[in-house]
Amino acid sequence: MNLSRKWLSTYVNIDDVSDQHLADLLTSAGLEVEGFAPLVETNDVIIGYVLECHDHPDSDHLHVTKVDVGSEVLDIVCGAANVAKDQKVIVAKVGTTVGDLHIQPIKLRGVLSSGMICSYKELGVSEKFNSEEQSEGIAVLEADAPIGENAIAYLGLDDVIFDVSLTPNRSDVLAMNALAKEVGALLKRDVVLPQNKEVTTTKNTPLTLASTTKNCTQFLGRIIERVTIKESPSWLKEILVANNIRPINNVVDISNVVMLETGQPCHFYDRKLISDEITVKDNMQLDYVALDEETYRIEKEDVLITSNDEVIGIAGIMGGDSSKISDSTTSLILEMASFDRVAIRQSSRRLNLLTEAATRFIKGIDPQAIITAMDRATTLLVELADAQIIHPVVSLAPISVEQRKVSVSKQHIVTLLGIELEDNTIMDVLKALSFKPQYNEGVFECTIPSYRQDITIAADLIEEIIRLIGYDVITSKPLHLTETSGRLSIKQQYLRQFKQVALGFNLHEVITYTLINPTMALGPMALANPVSILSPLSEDRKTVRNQLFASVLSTIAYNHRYKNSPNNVFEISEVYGENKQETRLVIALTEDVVALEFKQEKISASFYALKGMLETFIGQCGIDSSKLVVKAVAEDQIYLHPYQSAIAMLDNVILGYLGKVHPTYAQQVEAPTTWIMEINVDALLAFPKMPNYVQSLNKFPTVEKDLAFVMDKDTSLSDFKTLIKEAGAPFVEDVFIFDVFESEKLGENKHSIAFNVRFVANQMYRDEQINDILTNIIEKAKTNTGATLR
Amino acid sequence: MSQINQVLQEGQQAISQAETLEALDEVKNKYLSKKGIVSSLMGQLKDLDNEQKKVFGQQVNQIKQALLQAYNEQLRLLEEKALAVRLQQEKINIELPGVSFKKHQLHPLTIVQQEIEDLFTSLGYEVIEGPEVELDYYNFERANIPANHPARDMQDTFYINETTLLRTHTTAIQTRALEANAHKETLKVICPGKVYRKDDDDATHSHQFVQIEGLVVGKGVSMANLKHTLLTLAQAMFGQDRKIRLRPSYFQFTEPSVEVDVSCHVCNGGGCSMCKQTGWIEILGAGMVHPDVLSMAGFDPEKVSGFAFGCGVERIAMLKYHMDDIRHFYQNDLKFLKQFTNFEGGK
Repeated sequence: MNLSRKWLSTYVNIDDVSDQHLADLLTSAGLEVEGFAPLVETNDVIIGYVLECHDHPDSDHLHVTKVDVGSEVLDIVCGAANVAKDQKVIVAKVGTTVGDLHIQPIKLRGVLSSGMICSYKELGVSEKFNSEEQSEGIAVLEADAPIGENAIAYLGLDDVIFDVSLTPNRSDVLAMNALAKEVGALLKRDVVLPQNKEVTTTKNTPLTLASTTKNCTQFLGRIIERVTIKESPSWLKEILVANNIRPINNVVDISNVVMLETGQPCHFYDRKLISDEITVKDNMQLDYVALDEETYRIEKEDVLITSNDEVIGIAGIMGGDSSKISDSTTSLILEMASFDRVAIRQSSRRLNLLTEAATRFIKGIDPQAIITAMDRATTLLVELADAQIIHPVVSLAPISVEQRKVSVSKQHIVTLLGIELEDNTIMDVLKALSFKPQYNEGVFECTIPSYRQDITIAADLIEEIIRLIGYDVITSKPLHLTETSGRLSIKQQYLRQFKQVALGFNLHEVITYTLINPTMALGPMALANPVSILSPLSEDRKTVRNQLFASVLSTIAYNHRYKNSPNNVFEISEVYGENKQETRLVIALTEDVVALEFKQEKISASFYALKGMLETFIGQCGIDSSKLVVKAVAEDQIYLHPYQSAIAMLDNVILGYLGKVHPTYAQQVEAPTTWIMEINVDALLAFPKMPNYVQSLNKFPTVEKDLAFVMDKDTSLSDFKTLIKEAGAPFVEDVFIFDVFESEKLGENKHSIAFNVRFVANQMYRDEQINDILTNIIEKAKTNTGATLR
Repeated sequence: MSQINQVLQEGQQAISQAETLEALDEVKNKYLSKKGIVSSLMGQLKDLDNEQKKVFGQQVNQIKQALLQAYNEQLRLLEEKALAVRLQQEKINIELPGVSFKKHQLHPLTIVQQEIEDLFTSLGYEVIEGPEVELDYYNFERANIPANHPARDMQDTFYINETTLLRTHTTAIQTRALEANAHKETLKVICPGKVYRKDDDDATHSHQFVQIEGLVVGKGVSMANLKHTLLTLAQAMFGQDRKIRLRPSYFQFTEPSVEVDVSCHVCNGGGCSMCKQTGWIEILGAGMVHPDVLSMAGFDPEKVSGFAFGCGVERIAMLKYHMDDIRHFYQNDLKFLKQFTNFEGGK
């Protein structure tokens, strides 16, 4: 919101308070000043009188003038069409700065010009406040404007505007009356509020009010007759300009300034254009032309002001075009009402019409303000619009005055803040806030002014106390609580470990968006029934991802497009389906995991690289990696290469998939050749772990033998390894495949697999013993699979 | 006798003149093998009488030993020479590059999140998480944001259906933690996680970001304790010289509520572009847990009090790494991710 220093100074003496000090004071009290600046950019311009004005001898649009600025007469060349002899104008002398322009003596087509005659625009007055005539040429002042005086002060533009950011609980200070009280409390100074006059009213009034909606809680109406429409006095216009509201005429301006003072939006109707019967209604549907001459679609939930079944305004948001004040208005109906803030918010948002009035209704208004506003508007209409006949106020509901009492104990204050405070200090603060504190037996009882709707519990009072004293008095003290063990959960520890392992594989960690395009909510192992946002920002951020396949591939595609390397990444994230949540780990490889570099063998991206990584993760979890079972994927795959991909399982539990992205799909998403693996981390962590017990050490040498078998290509290698282990039991500890050899000479559909067989190192083996074991293995292999020793 | 001496002299000379291991081996064969010169001297024994045999035998043995000794010495000498030659031949170019053992670092958001988690686990906090697809009940109701509150509008929140949404703050984790631990004497938790707001993405806004909130509930927990904890956090993240400043603010979850400014880590509070010449940078929101929040979860606000604080991980990371565009975190450009190479640790 805008705060005018000049206006504030009419409430409370701030002459000795610098702009910076005022800003700091408000900020430290929770009314954050985001910046402050003079209302107009120039302050050094003066009033001049045009003594002579001739056409420039050498130009078709320039004028040569002599301007009396009091202390001297200046020769000024002026380009404005409207400049003329005997005008009072605004002059920037040599040496002053107007906007970005630094005024210097200059020759214009041979004639020396020593200064500039200014337009409102050049002074930095917003376009909004200039009439058409004013924005066309130079500013022409009233004939009685004093020559040589500061023009900015004369125009009432000598103001500083503070940009104050309000927290939702302090909408009260949208009313200048409340803001001035706040400043008074902070400075511990008296505040003078605008004074209203008693008025004599007529005995009766024909005005009747009714409401058929629950969303209108109060409505005050009053007829005021024989008003004179004219221009507002300058003090009133200055307030509006400082608050970024365009002055219209005295009556409309009064409705605006009363709202700025009290926070209560007011609406004035031209009485001759409506009847004396006003009803607040909802449950209507129509197209309605509001004050801004735009047409709005009214729905059943919108609250409307009607007169004789004719709609005359959208409640709390904007009046109607058909009953607005005009130059011929003589009689008014004043409306001050209270509407349900939620109803107004919903209408305002749907109609996309956030007016000053709507903003105040939405944020909440002092319930007493409605009465103050009626009195104030009446007073001003008498003073500034010569109102002659004042009808009594008609109210929809009984006028009630709420008295809210809130208490807080000294003990509570001291305990919650963790500091000692004097009783007097607390009393001073509560008094300064007009909370009328009573201190009895350790308890401060306060009567809360109606504009402080935010104060309802003891903690609110404690906040007010420390807010005004200042948080700097709080010294930091360490906690004294029962010891607690600080820790990460088992899962958090594993996830950290997995990330370190993945870094060790030379991968970069990526973090991608959760929300994806619904067309991307797919992929191998996508959770069923992904959920979507009801009203998303865009189609691309609509669906909560149900897998990591799509996101990581689009990251791969992005980095591929920019030729960023090495394009190998991993991500750990939650994925969601309907009523389902899983933590997933995804790895995508497009380049050598270890590049061919000086003195370094390369490790290519491949199915086997992924499988090795998976085995490492499984090992990290204390699971025997031989528990890993891979199964071929279905042949009708669209996301994965049907013959270079697999489903990974631990016993019968599906862990995830690994393999090459289907070339057609990769092309579709503009990704290069990619190997991808996506694992359900929850399933991995749920699998039973082996205890990590140390085996006793012995001094027998390790024995290993190599065996190469020629076998059918479709013989399961994991089954074959099990066969070797079982045939060699209990002597064979482990079996590794170290070579694959393919040749037509081996026979049709045959290949040779070389195994390294490692023996349990618990004895000194004799050669014959080893030979017996190997013979047994070879025989079993032959019998069971037909494989022969190569 | 002279014959024996002659063999010794010639042998020793031959040995010392052998310059290669092969030559030395030849000399050894010539003199010391079974058919060598020394052995052939022994063949003369049969022509001698017993007395002479004894003397002659001893002499031959002596020169055999002497020759063996000479041989061994020469062998050692030649081997040393040969080793020196070999080592020299094995000379490498030590200026060629080292083998490239690459080790990347984590995503910057993970780095900052873990630093904060580690600080608070060391202070006895438990790290807890919660669902991102959350009930509005835990996200709003329990956080003291009642129905019809503007914050609950469709405008700001990603609703999935009438009661489910993408959580808008990690306060949702806190409200769950409060409910689950209402029986405990002391609760100290730190709650990191992704949160979502209906903001258009630009340099300073992101519809998705990471928040970390902390919560302590116990007997006599005060604003002075909160200030101590916030100072500890500010100093751990931005250096031991940092100061903090509390300003009144407003959050539904807390009362009183404060914004927390930290003295600028770039200019040390003197004023620079990082802190917009103010010397202070706003990084946290905090406050004393609202009594209604405590009682809704089953705590008795008459008996216990608590504090809560929260910050955006992106904001901290951007300050720490001098970044000006939040979108970099989610673009995952490898040129960006590669810049987080050194391990820094806490301050």
